[in-house]
Amino acid sequence: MANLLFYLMATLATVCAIGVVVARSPVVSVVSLLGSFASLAIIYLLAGYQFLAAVQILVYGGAVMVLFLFTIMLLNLGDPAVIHGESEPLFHHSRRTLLGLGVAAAVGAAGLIAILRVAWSAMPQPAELPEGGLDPLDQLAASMFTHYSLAFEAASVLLLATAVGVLVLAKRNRRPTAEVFPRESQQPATPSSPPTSTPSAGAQGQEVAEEGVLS
Amino acid sequence: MFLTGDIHAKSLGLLAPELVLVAVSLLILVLDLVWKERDSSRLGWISIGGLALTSFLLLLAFGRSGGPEHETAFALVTIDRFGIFFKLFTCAALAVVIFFVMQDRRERKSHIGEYYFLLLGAAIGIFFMVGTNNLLLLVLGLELLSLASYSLAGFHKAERRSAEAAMKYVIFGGLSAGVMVYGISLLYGLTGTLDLRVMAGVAQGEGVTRSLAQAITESPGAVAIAMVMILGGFSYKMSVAPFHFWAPDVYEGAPTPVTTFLAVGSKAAGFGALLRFLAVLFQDGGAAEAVRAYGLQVGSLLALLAAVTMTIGNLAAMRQESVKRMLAYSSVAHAGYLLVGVAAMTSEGFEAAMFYLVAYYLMNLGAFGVLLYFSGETGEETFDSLDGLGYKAPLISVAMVVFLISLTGLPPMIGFLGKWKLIQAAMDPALDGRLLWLVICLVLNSVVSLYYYLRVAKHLFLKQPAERSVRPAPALTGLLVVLAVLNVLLLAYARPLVEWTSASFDLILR
Amino acid sequence: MSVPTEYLLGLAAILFGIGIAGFLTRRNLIVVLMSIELMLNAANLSLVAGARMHSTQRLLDGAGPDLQGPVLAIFVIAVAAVEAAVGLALIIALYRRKQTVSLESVSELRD
Repeated sequence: MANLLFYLMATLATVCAIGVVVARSPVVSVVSLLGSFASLAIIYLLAGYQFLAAVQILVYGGAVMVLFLFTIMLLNLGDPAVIHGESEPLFHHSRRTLLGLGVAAAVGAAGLIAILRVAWSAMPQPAELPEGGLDPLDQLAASMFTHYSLAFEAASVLLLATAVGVLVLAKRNRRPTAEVFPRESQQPATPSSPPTSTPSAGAQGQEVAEEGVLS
Repeated sequence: MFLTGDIHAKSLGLLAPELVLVAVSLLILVLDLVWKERDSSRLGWISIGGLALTSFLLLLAFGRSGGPEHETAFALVTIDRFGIFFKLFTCAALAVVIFFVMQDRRERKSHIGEYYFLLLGAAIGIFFMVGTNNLLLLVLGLELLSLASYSLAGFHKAERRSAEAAMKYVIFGGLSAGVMVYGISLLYGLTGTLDLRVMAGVAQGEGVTRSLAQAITESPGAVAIAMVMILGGFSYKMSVAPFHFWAPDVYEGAPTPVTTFLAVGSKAAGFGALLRFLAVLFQDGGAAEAVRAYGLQVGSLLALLAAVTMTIGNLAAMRQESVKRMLAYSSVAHAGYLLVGVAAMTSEGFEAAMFYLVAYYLMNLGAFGVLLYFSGETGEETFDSLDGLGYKAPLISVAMVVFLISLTGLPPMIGFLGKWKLIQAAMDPALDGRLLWLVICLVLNSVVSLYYYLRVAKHLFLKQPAERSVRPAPALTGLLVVLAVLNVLLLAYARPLVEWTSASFDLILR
Repeated sequence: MSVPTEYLLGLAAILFGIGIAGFLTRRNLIVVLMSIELMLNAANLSLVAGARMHSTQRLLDGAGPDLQGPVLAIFVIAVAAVEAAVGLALIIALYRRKQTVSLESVSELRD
């Protein structure tokens, strides 16, 4: 039964992954990605990794997906026709596509061959899972906060640096110059107005809203 | 393994340099909010002060270490002279970069606190990256460095090139992170550990189900794929072919001080991590014969990459019209030269690469500093914009010539000694002349590079004197002259430096 | 579940290959970022497979399960989230300037 579920989830993960790559609309891609992540979470669960499955769902399903969806909605990219670069056929550059598919196939095949040949066959195959799975929460936590406590702190520095970096990158400039926003028609700056004109109250409100979510 | 409070206190003491860096970076962030001023020089000096304090602590640690047994902080960071060498290098490079930021006339000084914070954050990433034998912390350190670098490259996001450069950097960075983590996962699957010393079989560790030697004999294909993928991750940081695509665009689009940091600090960090990876895994006296033999094969792959990288870099650098882009390709070429020492897979080769990094620091920081000054004056980075400026800013221009000769690798500059030591390492009798072709390639490439380096000097001095006047920049000029003098002086008094780099390479028991 | 470890690793290799294919062939920057997420996920699956195998061995030997793999996997998830955050922030910054999320908008830097 568990084996059957694994094969089902493996198929679903693969199909969804292909869906991410071939979907025309980014929204479909995101939903496929979510499907792929969810099937992987179930596979983790089947393999005995309960906490990892929970983290996978929480972080990917909860945070990363929302981030992707939010960006797509914010930029109004749901309709493929809106997207300048994607209105042509999906795989536009035939040479590049061939090269890409070739490289991908080579990488996948090389990995498969290396793995399926003797590589791991000498190792014991799993039997019954112990109670609490293979990542029991108490042991995992103990390991994370003693042996890997430094890595944990390093990750906190990483997150802080990211927060600052994202703030810097996504923040709208306070004083948009004519050179900065050449094409944005909704910008109140007319050609005759000085480049340091402040944006309208509406634009500021939008800006605050964007920053609030992004940071 | 559970650590007790005493061990924690001791580990914290060993990590004092990292802690000081974290504290200073947080202080910068808070002070930036509190002061709210346009004048940024105070924050800059605080950052440089923090780096000086960190360097001082590192020097103390350098004096304490050096024994056969290395101390380990929190079971993850190894305190050895090799790591301290690269940490000191990072501090020295970053201090100059922060000084460049303060001198950058095109920097509008908005969000300047975040600028310094991200630079210091990148340094913390480098500290973890070069200081650990554990692949987990290596990945985290590398990501911290990458993340800070992405944001820094896109710092002037209002400029088209800066935002696009950052985007390109993120995309290729994500690719290389994915490839590297996948490689690490294969290596972990094969051996059952993430600790390099345990993997190599020179240290005891729990959880090992198979040594690397066993894995190599039983499943060479899987090990080869894992190795190639992990080396791919390193190549990205070092801008080595075939992962160098991002380098010219990112170097050109990023603000010049950030470019300097990417070309010197980030690249050195990549080399530091690579040298540690290779030395610990393949070179240790306690490693099995099969592992050492495998290391030589990895060396052959690196030799090939070195030749390709330096040739691509030099050929592309010749065709550039922008000095910044030329320096970017030249930095790709230099990554190739550095790999020559690594490809030898001997201690001498690794030491030569480390020495070359010091030389690279002196000459490249100088060249980018000169570019910073001239582009701040003219607003352009093309060769033509330099026409005749040699007569308007003679000191800086003469310093530039010194840096360029050093970059070419001609005497009497330190670049010559750096290349000489690389060639010496590659011609080691123990290698039976296997790398002779690579040495010939290196020499030919150096000759080619003379063409485009001297082109800068030609534009500076052999064109009509420029109409425009340039504003003096006494502090920057002073620093650049000091760097130029060091380029010459350190060739004459190279012995202590050479001995210091040799003493710093203590990764393996000989 | 008594599925052999090789199958888990094989699935990881396939997902990784699909991720690379998406990275190399798609021009929509958001999809490119999703492909990177796929690759990191494949790496995580591979880690889990390795950890499961080593844990089984260790349980047979009477030791506790191997936790290095899961711990690294958790950190890799954090790294993936962080990469996505920065990538999307840059996409927004770029879109404000160019009204496009096509890779071509980035390729302009090339000579």
